[in-house]
Amino acid sequence: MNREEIEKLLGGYATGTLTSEEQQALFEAALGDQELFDELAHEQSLRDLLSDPAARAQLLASLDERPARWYGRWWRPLTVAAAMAGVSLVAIYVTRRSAPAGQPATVAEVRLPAPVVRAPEAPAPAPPEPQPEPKSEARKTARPTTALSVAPAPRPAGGGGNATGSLSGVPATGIAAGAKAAGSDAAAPQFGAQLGAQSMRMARPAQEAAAPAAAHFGLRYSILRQAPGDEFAEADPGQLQAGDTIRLRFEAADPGYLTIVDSAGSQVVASARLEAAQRFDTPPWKAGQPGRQDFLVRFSRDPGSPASQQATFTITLNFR
Amino acid sequence: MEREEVLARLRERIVAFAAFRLSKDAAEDLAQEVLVLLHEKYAHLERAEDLLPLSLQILRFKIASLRRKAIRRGEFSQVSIDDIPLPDLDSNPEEYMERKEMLEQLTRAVGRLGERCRQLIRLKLHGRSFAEIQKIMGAGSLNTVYTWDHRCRKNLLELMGGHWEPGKR
Repeated sequence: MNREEIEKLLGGYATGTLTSEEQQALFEAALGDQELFDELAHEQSLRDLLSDPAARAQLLASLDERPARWYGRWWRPLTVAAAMAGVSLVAIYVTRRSAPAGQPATVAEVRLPAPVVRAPEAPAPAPPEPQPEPKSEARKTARPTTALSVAPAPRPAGGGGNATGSLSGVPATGIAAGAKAAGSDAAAPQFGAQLGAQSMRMARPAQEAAAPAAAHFGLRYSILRQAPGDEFAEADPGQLQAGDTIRLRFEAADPGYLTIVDSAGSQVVASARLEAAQRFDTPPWKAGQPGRQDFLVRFSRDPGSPASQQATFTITLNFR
Repeated sequence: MEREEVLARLRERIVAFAAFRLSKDAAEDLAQEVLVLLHEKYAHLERAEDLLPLSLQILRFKIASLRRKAIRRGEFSQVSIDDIPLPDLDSNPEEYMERKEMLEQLTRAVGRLGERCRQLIRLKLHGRSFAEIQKIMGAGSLNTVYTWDHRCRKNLLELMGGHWEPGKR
């Protein structure tokens, strides 16, 4: 062995790997070569360490552990990022698929304040106490029939009732929603024609009554039926019978103009200006035959308001 | 090689080695103490394969002891021969801590080696000879294994900071 080959044996000195021949060659060379001897002396500390079985076992254990790859510390966050990217792509794909094709996306929209009328799905609660009515009208409060607003009908201030003063003295129930009291100088109603049907029955006209803008105006109506004692009381829409004497009562939260038209005959049943929280009763009529009768109700703040600013809905009465 | 010849060469090598790290007089005395110890306690050893590793081990402990004492006394150059004790070959707490630190550093350095070097060191620690390692690793010749081991040792030594013992440059 030459000097260079013997120097390669240094690595086997500390671990005790050298055979007898290799040791002899290395040591004899080290005894004659100071540089090699110094190298060997430096290896002695490692040799002493590895001669300890515990230290050797610990080093072997660390060697048995697989070294961490350069990408080893990245695979977890990369996996999470890939999963999130996949979910995002799926979400985008689903969103685009669900969007109607060819329909431009609306970025901004200007909407007119279109009031919403709640359909009269259930009878509105009756006022908790009888409403004061003019002396000419007999009063008997019954269940409310239909309401477009959930607010209780206010007690008319000043004993209003002049809207029905020219009619028969029939009581009415609250119609319009609104809390504020108003004056009693409601305009007198104008009655255009006789009511066609004499026998009516109130149904639950959800779709017919679902006209817009009523809630915006706080308009409320109810159906009154004349009791045997000539008193009008709120009637159950499902209990209307042919031969009943009926009238409608309206009440608005804000002032406005009310027009009621018999849909069958296109005749104006009543037209009047309503004051805030002021009740208005239509003239009574007698339902002579079983059947259905529709009334178109139109309410607006001003007489010449366009249709878009009117509350229009239909009241349907079914008489057995 | 006869024992007397081995001891003579050992003395020459030890003096040269220690003189580079200690003073000339201290190196002479240190070599003398190593040889006295070999003569008195290990008179039965005659071969260089036995005497040289043992002398290197004694030498390492003596140098370490001298350094510790010099540091405690603030002596960094001249060391009186009267203060140089005989080596205590038993472990002491300081030696234990040095070995522990060395082992930790070695473990970290080994973990940064390539797979072939790790495999080579693993086989060496398992007591395999270079010839056996050649067969296991499929090396073309024994000299190839020597070359691999030489490079791995050099690489490991660099990862250890140029010296096996921590803090000694």
